[in-house]
Amino acid sequence: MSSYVFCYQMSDFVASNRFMNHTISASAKSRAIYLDANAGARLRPVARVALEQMLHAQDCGNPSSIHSVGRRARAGVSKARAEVSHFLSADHSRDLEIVFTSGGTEACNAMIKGFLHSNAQKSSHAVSTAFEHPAVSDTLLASCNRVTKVGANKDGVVCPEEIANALTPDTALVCVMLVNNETGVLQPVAEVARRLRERGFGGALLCDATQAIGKFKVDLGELAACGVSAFAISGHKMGALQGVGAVVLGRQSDSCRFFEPSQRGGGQESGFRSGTENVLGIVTLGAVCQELKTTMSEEISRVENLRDMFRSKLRADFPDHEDFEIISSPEQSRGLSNTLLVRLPGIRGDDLVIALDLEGVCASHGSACSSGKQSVSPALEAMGRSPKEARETVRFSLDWAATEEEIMRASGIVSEVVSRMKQGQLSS
Amino acid sequence: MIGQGQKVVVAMSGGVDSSAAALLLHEQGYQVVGVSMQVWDYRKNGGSHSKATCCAPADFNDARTVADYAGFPFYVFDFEEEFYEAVITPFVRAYSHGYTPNPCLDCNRKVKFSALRTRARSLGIGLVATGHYARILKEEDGTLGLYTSENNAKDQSYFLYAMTQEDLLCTMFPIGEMEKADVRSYLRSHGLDVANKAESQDICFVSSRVSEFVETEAKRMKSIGDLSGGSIVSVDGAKLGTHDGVHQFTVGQRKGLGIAHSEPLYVVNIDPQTRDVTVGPRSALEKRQFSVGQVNWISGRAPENSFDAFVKLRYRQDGVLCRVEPLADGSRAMVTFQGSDSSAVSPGQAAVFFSNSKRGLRVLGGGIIER
Repeated sequence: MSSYVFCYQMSDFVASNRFMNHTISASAKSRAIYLDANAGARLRPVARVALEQMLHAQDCGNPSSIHSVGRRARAGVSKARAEVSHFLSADHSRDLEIVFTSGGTEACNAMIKGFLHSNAQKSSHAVSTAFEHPAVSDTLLASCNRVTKVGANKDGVVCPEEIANALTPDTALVCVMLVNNETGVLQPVAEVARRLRERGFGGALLCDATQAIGKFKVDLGELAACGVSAFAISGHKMGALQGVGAVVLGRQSDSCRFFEPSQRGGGQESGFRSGTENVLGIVTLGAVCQELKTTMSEEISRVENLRDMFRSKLRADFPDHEDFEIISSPEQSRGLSNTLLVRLPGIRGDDLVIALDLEGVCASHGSACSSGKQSVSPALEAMGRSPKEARETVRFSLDWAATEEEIMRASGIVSEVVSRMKQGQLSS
Repeated sequence: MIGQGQKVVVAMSGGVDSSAAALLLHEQGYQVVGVSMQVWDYRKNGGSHSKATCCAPADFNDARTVADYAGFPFYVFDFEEEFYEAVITPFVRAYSHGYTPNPCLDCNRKVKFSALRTRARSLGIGLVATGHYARILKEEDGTLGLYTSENNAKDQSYFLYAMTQEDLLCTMFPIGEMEKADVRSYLRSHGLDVANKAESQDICFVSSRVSEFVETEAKRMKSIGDLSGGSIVSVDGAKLGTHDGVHQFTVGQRKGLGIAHSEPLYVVNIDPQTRDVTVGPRSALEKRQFSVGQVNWISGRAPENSFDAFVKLRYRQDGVLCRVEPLADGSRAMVTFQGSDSSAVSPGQAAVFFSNSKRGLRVLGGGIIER
């Protein structure tokens, strides 16, 4: 006991004598300004309502049960399945098989392993972009003997011809993400599909669409018709609950026939993914899709305007391209119009993210791994950026809830924090 | 509140001491920002997580748990590059040149009290706290003094001798006064499991044998030094055998020489040029005098004259009374044991000078033992 008391007294001495030159930062922080939609969007009100209704009705039975409670749960899942497929394809919804999973990562794992199984005898080679999410790149590395990675041009777009040129006789899988999580840049998946068809590719073309869905206008039914075998999607990236996602199989390309379940048991999800369904998560995903069917176009334009406003404001504060480089800021036809990837030469992006967090602005650098260390983004490397340049980047991505007031406040904070870091001065 | 909302970065390893340091400052009203330093990637560099004593996800989680409990922010800072350059490279180079380095010294000097402070400043935070057992006190002349913890068994001031006045001004040791048992019970009183965590002992980034680590890393580095083998010779010049590299030896070492001899043999000298490892009886090891380089004086001013001091040649050792004579404007010093005393000295290790004062043992400075 006595030693604590002594310690407090010591610190008293320390505080009063040594540190009075440091002034106190009284930054009263209100709610955080959330600019990290590509890591996960905030839960949409419509998802909250669907969740609350399900909980309120005590409808959380097991959808496989015969009785009324089970049937109501199953009805919730079925309704959501229809809502999801109608959202993913206006005209070809019946051509899509929705297999609910625990999220985007499971969906990526399941589609890769599911299509490798069916190519067991030739499962030795895969081709992918060099900037896939680890859910794809690590799974490929672990599942295939060889992986050929194809880089991007300076705008972050992979070349379909290069993908096709990387094919070998034993290539079983080609993986191309729909839009990149870091840059937000759309990849030419349909064109890749066409080239692969021309080359007589007999394996599966898989597409991680987790970042695109809900933030980019795309018809997965049409892409499936072009020859994409399967897609991975994620609930929380579009404002549904975490812990739900789906593998979307193209029925037209007959891919259901070649898809092997990676998880066996009770035969749920048409046998494609055993395990009791995450009913609560699934109904939120259905509700979000149902809403976005009518609101997404307007929302994308609104968010794009806010993103452009944010970009202009920062550009005005840092007019010199030597101080502030816009690496990626796609318009809505070219990718995620919610995303702004910038580089601040001389400033570490990981430090900036922390400094911004301390001022109440949520942004990101590279992809945060679970340890908390922020690693350098493969997308920037694939675009030919040096590790140093890649380290100097920070990504802002706006979700459905972003407001003009937040954006204005955030741009002011970013400018202030960056100036402070540039000057290497202590905060006041 | 004492802290009055001042911002402070607390270096949190996930261990007992730094957890308590962070929590104490938080309770005293500081705006604590907890930081774990990722200095070594076991996934990338091999080695085992389970044996790792730092940078394992479990350690970060322990630190994060304390931060979440108290409600202050916590981040992992990537210091792998800085650490490799400032700690690993000199560590491997020293071994390949026949020295026995102490990497904790470099880590404190170049990473914790330098790189970390720079990163803290970029966040607008001027203060850095650690869980070291040592005290920083203001002297009558206005300078800052570094003192041992009154908790002698755990005192870590030996590792801090290279701190400058500027370092001391920006640094806090919140648990510097406390007893280890009290630190643990303080955490326990908050219901934090980390209270019972075992101490880390060995070099944090080495999960195998040091010599294996040095060999692996030396391969990665170019022109780092010579790890080739050589001869084991006796003090009178007779060749007794061969060895596989000077990095496998430490002056004062007795075990593992692989030589049968009538009396116990010790490594008494390592010659990095000829690759000779000289062995001899204990008496050959004893030195009455040795020099130190890269000397730091805590006060910022080298003493003009020789002075008496207690000198520690190892972390867990009582100070031995010596005469210290500053050389070359104080950047080096000659240390002579008092009376007929002598001791084994290991080149590469630190010799740290202490003096008695009414406030306890005070660190005057120190340096690296030269060959």
